[in-house]
Amino acid sequence: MLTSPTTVMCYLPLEIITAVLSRLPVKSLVRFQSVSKGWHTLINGQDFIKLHLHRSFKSNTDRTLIAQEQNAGIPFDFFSVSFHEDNRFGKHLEIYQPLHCSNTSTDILSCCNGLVCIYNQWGQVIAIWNPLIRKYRKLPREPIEKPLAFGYDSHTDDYKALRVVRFLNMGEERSLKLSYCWKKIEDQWPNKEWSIRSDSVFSNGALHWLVAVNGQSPENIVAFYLATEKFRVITTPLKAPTSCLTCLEVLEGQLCFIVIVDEMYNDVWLMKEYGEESSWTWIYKIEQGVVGSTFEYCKPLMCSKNNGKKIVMEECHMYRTYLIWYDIEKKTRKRVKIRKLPALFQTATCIGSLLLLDGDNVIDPTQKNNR
Amino acid sequence: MSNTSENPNPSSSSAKITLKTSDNELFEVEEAVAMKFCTVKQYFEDEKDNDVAARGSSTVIPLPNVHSAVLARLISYCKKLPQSNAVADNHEEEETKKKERKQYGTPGDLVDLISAANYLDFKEGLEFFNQALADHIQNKSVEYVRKFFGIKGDFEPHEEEKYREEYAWAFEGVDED
Repeated sequence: MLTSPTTVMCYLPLEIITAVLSRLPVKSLVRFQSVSKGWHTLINGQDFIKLHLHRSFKSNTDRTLIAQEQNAGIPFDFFSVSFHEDNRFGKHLEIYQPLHCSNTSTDILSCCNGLVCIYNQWGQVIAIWNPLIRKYRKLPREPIEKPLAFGYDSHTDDYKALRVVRFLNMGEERSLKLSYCWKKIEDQWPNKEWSIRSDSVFSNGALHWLVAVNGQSPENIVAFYLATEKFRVITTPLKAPTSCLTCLEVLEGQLCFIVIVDEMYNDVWLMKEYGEESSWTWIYKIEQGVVGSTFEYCKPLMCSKNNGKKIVMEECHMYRTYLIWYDIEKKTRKRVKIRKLPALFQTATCIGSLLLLDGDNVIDPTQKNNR
Repeated sequence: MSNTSENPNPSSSSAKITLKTSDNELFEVEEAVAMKFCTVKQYFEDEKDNDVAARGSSTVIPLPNVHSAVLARLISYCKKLPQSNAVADNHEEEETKKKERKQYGTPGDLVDLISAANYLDFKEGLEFFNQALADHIQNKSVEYVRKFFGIKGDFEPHEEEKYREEYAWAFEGVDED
């Protein structure tokens, strides 16, 4: 039941209230849940959460980089950096992550829709975490290798983690977490000779991996559709020489294929229309010299708002991680200046999302509130 | 009394439409502007079908739910429309946009503008003013929001207290009311 707007100030109908609230950052919404029972119900409703997420993507609300410090100083091995509407970055904030334990660090496995899937090897625990609203949910514990992929199925409105289990001479079996249980996928892995050669990425309702026969460089991507639980093969824009490394990323929702050539340059393609192999578009090359004298990989994270001609990247150079702006037209690079960034880190890109609002609270035992 | 809206281009030969507000003011506006209001457009087209408009350009469209002060603001917003919807490219532009969203009066005026835009089915205006209202309440306290929207807090005091403890971080850094 929703509060009826009857008083002097408020003669705005519920649909307008909903439209206004959907434009707010998550912090405001978490606070405004306590305005009334009506608002609480509204903000927690699946329809509102979806509407808000849709709006967040459209306007890039609350875009935040979540980074995990490598060789971390415990307890704060994670931090967040907000990315404002005007293409500027906010302060570096230490955040407490739910799988914190004192002797091993927790890795970011993947992220989608504002949720980050993290894994702690020591406890063999996997959790899905919404760092911006400090909520999480642990997945059922299974003493098998870490899951490889995580994504969102909009048809069933469910989050699914997928792991690939290999049995000798038996091809591969796949399991899926759906409503707290693992289940075997019926569909067959497209080619028994293909093994996974990249981290998984989530885009357009499917999980993706670069795959190749041993000893060869990948020329195919296997996609797994979470709604239909079917596999599909997508070819890469080119077959890179075997001496090159290849990577798969997602940039602004689009699949992104990267070839790393002998520590000399990265060549980057985007799949402009999902599933259309003819739509692979070369977008930029980033060369040695523009970045440090030697470099391996610049992971694209986000495009500048509006024209997208500048890209924020994570650059690894001499055991240090830097965030940089790369202008793909002028081919210039500028380091993002954020104080107190750790030396080495890996990042995930989050967006304002209320998913997991009903999850468990991440309680920071040091009671140190950063916001 | 006639309230001809300021036309920056008097030589423009485009057709005019007269709108009559709740306080009986008449606004003569360019057809292109009036057609942004879907409610007016619908009315205008129905009139056309009824062959009333054909008898002369003197059709007056009544807007019994819109006050003249509000309509004047909506019309002035309409005229700026193309620039307003462009996305900001840098910090300065974003600031300009925020200022622009603030210049349409007090938060209370915003509620009037939103109601009118909603009644007139003026989509761009509604989006713009909704965003302006969201900008306004974003950093406000729960108490401010209750007062602003005229909502009575219906949680038990201990429930509310518990909530504030659980989400203490979300209650930090809130603007003074």
